[in-house]
Amino acid sequence: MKDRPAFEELKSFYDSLDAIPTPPLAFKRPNRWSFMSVLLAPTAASIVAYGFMWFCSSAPTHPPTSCPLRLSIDRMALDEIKAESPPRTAGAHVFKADSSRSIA
Amino acid sequence: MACIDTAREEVDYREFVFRLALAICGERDTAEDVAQDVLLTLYRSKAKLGVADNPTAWVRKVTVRCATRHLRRLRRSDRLSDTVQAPDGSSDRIAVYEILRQLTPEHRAILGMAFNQGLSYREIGEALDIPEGTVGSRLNAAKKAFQGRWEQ
Repeated sequence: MKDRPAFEELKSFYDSLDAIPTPPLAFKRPNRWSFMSVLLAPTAASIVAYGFMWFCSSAPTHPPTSCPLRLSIDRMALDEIKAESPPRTAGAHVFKADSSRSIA
Repeated sequence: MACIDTAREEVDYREFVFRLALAICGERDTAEDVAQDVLLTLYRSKAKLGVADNPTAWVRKVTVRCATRHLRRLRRSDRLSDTVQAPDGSSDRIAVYEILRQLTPEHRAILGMAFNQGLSYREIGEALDIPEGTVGSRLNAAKKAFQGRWEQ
């Protein structure tokens, strides 16, 4: 390969380009997927926006007042708290006002 | 679209642009992309072309700029993917193309214009926006870069 002088090879390379015909004027089509994405992106965006609006409009605006599930959970939590708290003894600390000291 | 109807005459630049792009890129697919971009640019700036002193020089300048930009982009993507799209032909031709791919887009442009298009220093200087004296030194640098790689 390197036997021939560099510029002789370069010249013959450039000469060989002349054999390539000029293509007819036809603009290349865009990539299929990019073309599809241009079409599909607005559709997908509008579907997502519509779904979000539907979700917002159907969501409850007030908290449930009489939800049985919530009540049962609250009851269970209350029972657990009761079970964990220490039993009250008779000698519980009671703070009383010292009668020997008087403010007056 | 390829026919740009200037004030003076209707000139078909399709062949001219494709040949120059092919000389710079050395490969058909890239040359077609460059030619498409250039023809669109010419179509958009028809008015500018109509009042240009030398429309051919202006079209040449646009083509060279577009081709070097394409080659620069390809160089960056080649570095990432390392894909080679060699032209069909003999092994020597592929070897030459491989070496040209390693050169800078500016060197490829000047070699293409000098070896394939046979342009004068003045025309090359106009296309690259450089003085005639610089054309000679840049052409020598491009030749040296090619020869150095060829002898490796």
